[in-house]
Amino acid sequence: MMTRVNRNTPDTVRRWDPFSELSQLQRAMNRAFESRLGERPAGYPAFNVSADEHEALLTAEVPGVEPGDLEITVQGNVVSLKGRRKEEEPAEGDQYHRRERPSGSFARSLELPYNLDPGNVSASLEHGVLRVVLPRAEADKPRKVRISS
Amino acid sequence: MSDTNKQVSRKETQAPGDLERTRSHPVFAPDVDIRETKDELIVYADMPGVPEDRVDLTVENGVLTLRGSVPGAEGETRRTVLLEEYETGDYERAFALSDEVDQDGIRASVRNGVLVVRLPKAAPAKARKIEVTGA
Repeated sequence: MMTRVNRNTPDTVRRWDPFSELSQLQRAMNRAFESRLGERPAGYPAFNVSADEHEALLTAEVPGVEPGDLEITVQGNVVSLKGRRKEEEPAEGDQYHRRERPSGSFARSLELPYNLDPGNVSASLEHGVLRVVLPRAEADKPRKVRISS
Repeated sequence: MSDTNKQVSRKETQAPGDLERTRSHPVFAPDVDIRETKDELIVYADMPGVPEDRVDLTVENGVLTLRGSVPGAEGETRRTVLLEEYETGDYERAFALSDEVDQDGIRASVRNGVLVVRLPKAAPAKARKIEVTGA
């Protein structure tokens, strides 16, 4: 329920609904991040992460991105991905019947539950799928504890 | 920051006639851009994970069907899944072609997980002269 302020009449006691203001603000924020033609909102690309005691594997689908347009950085327990997807340059007079694919720049970071070993991170990009192998820092690998008796 | 929401929403396709697929592998409709130039229609379809030899294009009864299959993931089950924001699956999408497309001239290529299909426009139909035989 929206409360409108009527500036022509003196202040009257109205039921103030803070939640409607919040949801309005939320909607406005969502719109600000929403797709302009073809661009995805923050959070692109989607990540899948799996891990064992030695390393984590992060995969992301980034079709249409050239390897040179991707930048991966690792620091502490955070892996960051930046890149851009160039779109085709339409010629004058061209018309789009559908425009569903995202384009433009993207940047995303992910915090992992342990520190990484930046020197041994490797990444490959094949058929538009990025695979990043993130080894755990030695100090952060699980250690077996001997029980003395 | 860790993101746990499903950011990508993908439409799963239904087999024609609402048939069930025999395979349990999900099938998605790839995002496409369709661009019309002076001489051709170009379809760009995002099919990440699909190698060139697993793309299938068929034209039948004026319908262009794009299909792509993703090779199964090898030996990654030993790892624990920490985050799963997207599902992998095969791709399929079909388009009705108008008469203006020269179906014999359709060409396709794949690069970085994007399938590009070029559909040349047919030369305008030449006026056919119909001979009238007189009796």
